[in-house]
Amino acid sequence: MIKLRNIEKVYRTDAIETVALNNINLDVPQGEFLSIMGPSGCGKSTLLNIIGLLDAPTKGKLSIASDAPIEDFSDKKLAQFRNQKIGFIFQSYHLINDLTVLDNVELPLLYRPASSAERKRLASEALSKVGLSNRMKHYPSQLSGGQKQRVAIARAIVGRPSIILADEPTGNLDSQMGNDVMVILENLNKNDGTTIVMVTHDENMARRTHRLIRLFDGSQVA
Amino acid sequence: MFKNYVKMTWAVMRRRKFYTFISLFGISVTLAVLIVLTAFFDNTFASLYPEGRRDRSLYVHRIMQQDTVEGSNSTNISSMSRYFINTYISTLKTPEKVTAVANENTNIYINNQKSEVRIKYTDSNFWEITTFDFLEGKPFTLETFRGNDNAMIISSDIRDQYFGKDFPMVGKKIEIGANIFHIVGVVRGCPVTQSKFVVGDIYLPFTADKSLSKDQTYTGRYAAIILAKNKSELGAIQSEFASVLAKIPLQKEGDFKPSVIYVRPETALGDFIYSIAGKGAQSGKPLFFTILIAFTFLFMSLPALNLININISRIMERASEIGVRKAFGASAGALTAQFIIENIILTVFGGILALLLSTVVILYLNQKGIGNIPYLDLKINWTIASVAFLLSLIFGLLSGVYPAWRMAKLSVADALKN
Repeated sequence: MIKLRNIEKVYRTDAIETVALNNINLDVPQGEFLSIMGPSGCGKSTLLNIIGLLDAPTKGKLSIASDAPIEDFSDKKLAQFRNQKIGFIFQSYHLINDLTVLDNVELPLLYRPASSAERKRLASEALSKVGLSNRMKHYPSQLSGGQKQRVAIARAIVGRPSIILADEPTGNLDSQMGNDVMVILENLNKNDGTTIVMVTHDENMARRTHRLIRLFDGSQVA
Repeated sequence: MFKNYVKMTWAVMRRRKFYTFISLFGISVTLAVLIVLTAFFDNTFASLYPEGRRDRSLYVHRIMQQDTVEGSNSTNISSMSRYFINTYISTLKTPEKVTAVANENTNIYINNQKSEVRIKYTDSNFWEITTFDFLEGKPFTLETFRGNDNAMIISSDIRDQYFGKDFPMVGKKIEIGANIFHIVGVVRGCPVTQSKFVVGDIYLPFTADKSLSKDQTYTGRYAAIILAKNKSELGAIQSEFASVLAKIPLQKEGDFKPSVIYVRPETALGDFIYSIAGKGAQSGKPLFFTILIAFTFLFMSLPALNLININISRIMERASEIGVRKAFGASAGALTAQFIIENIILTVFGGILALLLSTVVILYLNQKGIGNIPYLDLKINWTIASVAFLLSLIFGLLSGVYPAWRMAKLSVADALKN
């Protein structure tokens, strides 16, 4: 499903060169729930951004869901690919405060051919899956942190992607809310076969996934 | 998708009310000023009372003679004499009618009150070329001139100011200089924004003009209005006059020995342009319109620059949204389109406000007048309003492109760090 070969990411400025990722090799088969752990600044988010095609590696090869050479994709094709295959969940939710919950969840469907009615139907379904059908007309500012993250999950799954990339999805939540979010992710993985790659600082959450890899100073150490 | 853009625009407009106010203020005030200025411009040059035939009239208001012989380059610019008009303009074959009119500002006593008035010396054709409404009495006729009648026509402004509204004036007498004139008609007043050739307080027969001399000089204080049979003959009149002018003998005046003479019959607008930008054989139109277009462009670019600034300052504020949209499949093109459409919606909104604002201003001006200019009859010129609106849309588009391009360049990873 996801194949990373000799991935390297280097940030260069005039004065210094910072190696964010060094020779990362990783295979994530379809349906796996993988967690990535490591101290702050070790490259977890950079790795997730590269898998999510939000950032390009300096060196190495990456393939997702097919053998097509992603590095040759145009901006438009990359955007389409993300739209079809990948859903994102962020630690700080990144909901658009000016839009209602329903409009936020509908957002990924705006970039594919779908009628307004179809978009609304799919968005409502995704919100029911996360138990928020009664909050559709609310605005993000009217929700608790846990509810916001559940809206973000609904937004990530509304387009039925085969991969979900979650960057510390429980990082801003208390244990109860964190657990609720984790249960939703586990169900998505178990029931829909969605491949999930999750960055976390929480050992307990990581233990609930199929596999855990650890990064340290940009290199995979376990 | 579009509905979503509208929703987003509305949300952004409501979120930052002050920025929205500044943007809309810039767009609507600029457009409104342009619409009101155009209404004034139209009012000055269109076929409106009391010059309902202006669209088929040509105006000649100056004669320019240049002495270019033997290194001299002196120029004499002046109004024309009645002799010149009678000899070279009234004799043209193409026009329907020609009138000569002179202006004089003087102080007189009306109803025992001292008053500064504008006197126009006119002939009978003047009243056939213009479309004055006679509230009382009648215009001068050929008999007025044959009988050397001391007749006078006054405007309703003078009547209202010195005698009172609806006061019967025909038959009343007013003294000007040592002469007594009797009023034969009262015409409805008109704003001074109308042609300087026809607006006056008192109209007298040209025979009462003491400055008239029997000399056959070309210069004097008269201007001519030439009425064509129809609009399409204006060019033919100009051509006929050009061929007459080419044969006019040059007149020496003392040391001034002109070698060339310029007289241009022009439309109301053409005459205005010639008087401020033309010289000699040059109509001044290319220079005038270049300056006008440049000014309009600069003026219209002010709200566009304002919008660009505001939009750029908003990019970082909307970084999270940009990052999320990109992550979930918005291409740089889709984001650019969204931002440009948002700008255009804002501009359209500003355009609608501008129309409302200019309508209110025009209604107010028409009702109250400006200073001592009564009878304003300004109208919105829909062609210009549409062009201004279209221009503002183009500026809305342009002012969206650069910020949208900056926004599309923003890396998703960086945008999401905010």
